[in-house]
Amino acid sequence: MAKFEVPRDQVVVRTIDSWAFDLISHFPLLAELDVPPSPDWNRSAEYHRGAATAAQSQAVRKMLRLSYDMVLVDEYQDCLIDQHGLVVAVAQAVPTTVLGDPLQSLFNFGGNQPVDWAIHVLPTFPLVEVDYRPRRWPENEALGTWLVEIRENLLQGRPIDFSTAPIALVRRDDARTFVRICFRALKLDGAVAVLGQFRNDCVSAASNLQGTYSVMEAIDEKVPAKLASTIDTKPAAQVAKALVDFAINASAGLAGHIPSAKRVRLGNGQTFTTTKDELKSAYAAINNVRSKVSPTAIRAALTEIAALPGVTIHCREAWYEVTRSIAVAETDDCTVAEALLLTRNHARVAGRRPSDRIVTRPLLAKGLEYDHVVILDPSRYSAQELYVALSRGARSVTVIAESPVLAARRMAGGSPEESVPPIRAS
Amino acid sequence: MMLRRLSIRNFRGIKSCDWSIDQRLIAMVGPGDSAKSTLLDAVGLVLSPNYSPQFTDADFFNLDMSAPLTIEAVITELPDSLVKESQLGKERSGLKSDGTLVHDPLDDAEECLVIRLTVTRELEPTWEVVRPGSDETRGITASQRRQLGFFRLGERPDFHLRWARGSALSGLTEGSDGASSVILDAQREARRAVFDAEPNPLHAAAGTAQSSATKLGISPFTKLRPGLEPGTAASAHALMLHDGEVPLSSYGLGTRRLTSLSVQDQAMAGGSIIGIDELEHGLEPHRLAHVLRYLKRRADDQHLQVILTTHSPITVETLEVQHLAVIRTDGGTTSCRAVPDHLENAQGAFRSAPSALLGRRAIVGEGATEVGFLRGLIRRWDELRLAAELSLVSAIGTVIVNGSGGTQPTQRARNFQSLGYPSLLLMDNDDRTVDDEVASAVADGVVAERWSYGRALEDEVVQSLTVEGLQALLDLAIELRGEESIRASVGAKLGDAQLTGTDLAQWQTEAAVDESGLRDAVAAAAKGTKSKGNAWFKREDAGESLAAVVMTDSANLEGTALMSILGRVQEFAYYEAPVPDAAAEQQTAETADA
Repeated sequence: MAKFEVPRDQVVVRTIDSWAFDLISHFPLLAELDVPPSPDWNRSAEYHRGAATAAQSQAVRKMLRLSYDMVLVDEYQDCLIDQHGLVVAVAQAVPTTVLGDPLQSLFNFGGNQPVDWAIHVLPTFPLVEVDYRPRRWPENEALGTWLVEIRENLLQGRPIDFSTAPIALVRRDDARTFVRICFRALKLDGAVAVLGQFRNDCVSAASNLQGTYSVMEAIDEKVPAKLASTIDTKPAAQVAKALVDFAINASAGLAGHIPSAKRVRLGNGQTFTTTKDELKSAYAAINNVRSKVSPTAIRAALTEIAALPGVTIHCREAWYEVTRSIAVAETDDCTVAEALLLTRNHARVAGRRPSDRIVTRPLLAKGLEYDHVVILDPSRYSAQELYVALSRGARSVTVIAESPVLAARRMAGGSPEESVPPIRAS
Repeated sequence: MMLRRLSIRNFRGIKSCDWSIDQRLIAMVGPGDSAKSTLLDAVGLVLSPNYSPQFTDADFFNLDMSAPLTIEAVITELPDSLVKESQLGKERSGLKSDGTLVHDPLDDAEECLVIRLTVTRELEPTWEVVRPGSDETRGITASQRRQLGFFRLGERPDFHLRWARGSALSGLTEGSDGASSVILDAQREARRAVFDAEPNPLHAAAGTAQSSATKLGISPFTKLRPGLEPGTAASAHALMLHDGEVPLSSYGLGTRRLTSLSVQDQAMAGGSIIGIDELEHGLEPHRLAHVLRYLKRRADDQHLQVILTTHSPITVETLEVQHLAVIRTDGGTTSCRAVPDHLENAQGAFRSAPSALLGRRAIVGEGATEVGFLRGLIRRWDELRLAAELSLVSAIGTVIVNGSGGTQPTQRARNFQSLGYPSLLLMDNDDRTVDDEVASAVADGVVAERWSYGRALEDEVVQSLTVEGLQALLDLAIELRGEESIRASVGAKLGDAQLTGTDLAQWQTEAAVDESGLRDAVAAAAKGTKSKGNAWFKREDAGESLAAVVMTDSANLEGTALMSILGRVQEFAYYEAPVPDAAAEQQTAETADA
């Protein structure tokens, strides 16, 4: 919003979850749901349903109508069905537009149920055709155009032919083909991302690349490590304080929200509260960490902190490293320190910015952009993962494959209706 | 905006007060120290648009700061600007039609904000929005409070006639800096005028200063001269409404108050809550009645809510009973009562005795005789109390009300009683058809005093007086109605006996009756026949003179039923509430009409 010079008082940016929790904690009767002071995100589906109930009351509709001219929901392909119910309720009061690209939906793991474009979204939000403008590829317009062309094939589950594509296709001769390609890519200008699929193959690839590619190093590498060890071994109050201290060091605009006196109280196990509404959910999330340390609680706290008004993260690498480490600890059931160490095992600081040469995977690379991308094995990707991977590189994409034609990709999650064009692509 | 509930704890003379409001025009009536103005002050403070009104220890009930001072107001019909999510939209509660507050603005409740002002012993005020059944609070800023549109007419009547910061006139001005640029231009113009002035003695003085400074080598001044100090825009306060050449500050108080009221009425587009202290202040009766009608219309149209205090019977007469709120404070507990819907003929009762609503307790006399009789008694009792340096009936606030006969006396007594005015009903006891009415009035708490069974006032007096007293009564009757008439009426009751002169003993001989027979005849004659309208004392002045007769004879009447009844009436009329705490009472008196 700042980039487009939208005045700060003209727009409110919230996550659906924190807005929903905030609404029901204010209106438990309207939501028909009582909630504790701190959210328990395991119950987020209940929160979404409660908020949807509240949003249908006259009082909340009036508030929404008087407060907002328009509601925009971004990344709608990642919206879960209960979140969608809430957005539909809000749309009764305020003109609402949702933006999303089903081809970038990567949240189909675990028990998540993202919206189905045809079943849920289009009946409520009529399709608006938007000229597809591949903005990321001014230096490689052919690539941008080709990506637009393959969207339909991916959606329809048709094979993808790389032989005529404006990409570099490398035939896999053996298991080490990628090492040669990645070393050669080291000479390229700009940022290079090597894309695997899962944590293990990324770590393994990074290992094979002898640390020339890192798995996203922090600018100050000691910070995440120290934090990870605190999380794993220290009492909860100390963890909560360390987490907040880390966040403050990695960002601007946060210290004012959580002044040092409060941080001391946090560390001492004293009451840690705020009277400011916009801060409450973040404080609650931090209190959650203090009452029971878990990767889920920490991740929620970091998410809330990052979403606070006026907070910008400038140590992005450190931030992403920690949040990803927490996420890995959550899914792989290891300590945070282990998660952090594993992703760094073979990384070395070789006199260049570590983020210029990284090994990552579509789930983590989503929303990020690189100059050059090397895809280690497209045959392992779902259609969405493949699209995200192919669309990360602004200047070049290199694909290492067994054959020039990639067999039909499966759409993860639902099966989109035929000829459903995207509402928006990024 | 509409004030629907006011709850006060430990504020000045009010230890505790809970007031539910559903009227748009409320005239607070009640005795002088019943805390009416304190209630207006409380509304003004909880809705104050000021950042920090000053509090002192004296703002605490009984100067006891061990418990906080709190004022809580429930406001409905909120301005849109406050309903926004970024404002107080998520802090709204609900007010159900049965008057209960609920945490959320449910669909079947009215949305409202519960605003609480708390002052602690450090005298720091905090304003918060609170929710019923929850400890969660959220601050409400001065500018948010300003949007609630409370305006107090009474203090600083000129303020809203100026383009001052926060005045109604400023609110009425499109664009906030209009007044500032006018005043700045005027100041620049004035500066120029001073510089351009013809040479005058000021220039000579400036010249002297310059040459002296040069001799001292202070500074290379080139042209010292008189000039006006540059002004700042903050002084827009000096801009005031004028009529032609005349500033409105020169007009009478009533005009200034009314103009200020009309400006405020226009300034708040979303409607406002106006508090008016002593509406009648500075207004002639006809203007007062006109203003009341105007306010009533605006309130009926839902543009305004008006909460006013009054000591004016004209206000009580002009308004309808549903506009009245009777305020009373007893031992720090303040009650605010609307006139209940079920009261019959309340309008008539209050219009007949508007001043009683401004008092503390009512004595309802059955008719003109009783009212006059009561006045006579009180005049005498007051004289005795004055001599003994005791408070008079007017200080106690006991007001005599004419019951106008029939069933109206009991109805009126019940009306006053049900509004919290302790009421005494003084009735004859010779009409059995009103017994049931009297019994239900007693059930409502009315003190009913009736003469001995079967007797009217005249019976009781005539049968109780000494012979000398009875002669004095006869003399009074003759003075009022003439010898002929009195002799004829008594004679008629004695078998048309031919009576002469004015001496009772002589009459007894002439009519050949015993004393008891004569008393019966006098009593019967005094009561007269209703259809003929020939009763001796059926006028207030006559009743008053009758009381004087009784009082003169009273020393000889001890032990009679008459005297015990009058004793109880006296006790009621001069009742003084026990004072639980002298300091609190004093404080109530000081602040109530401040």
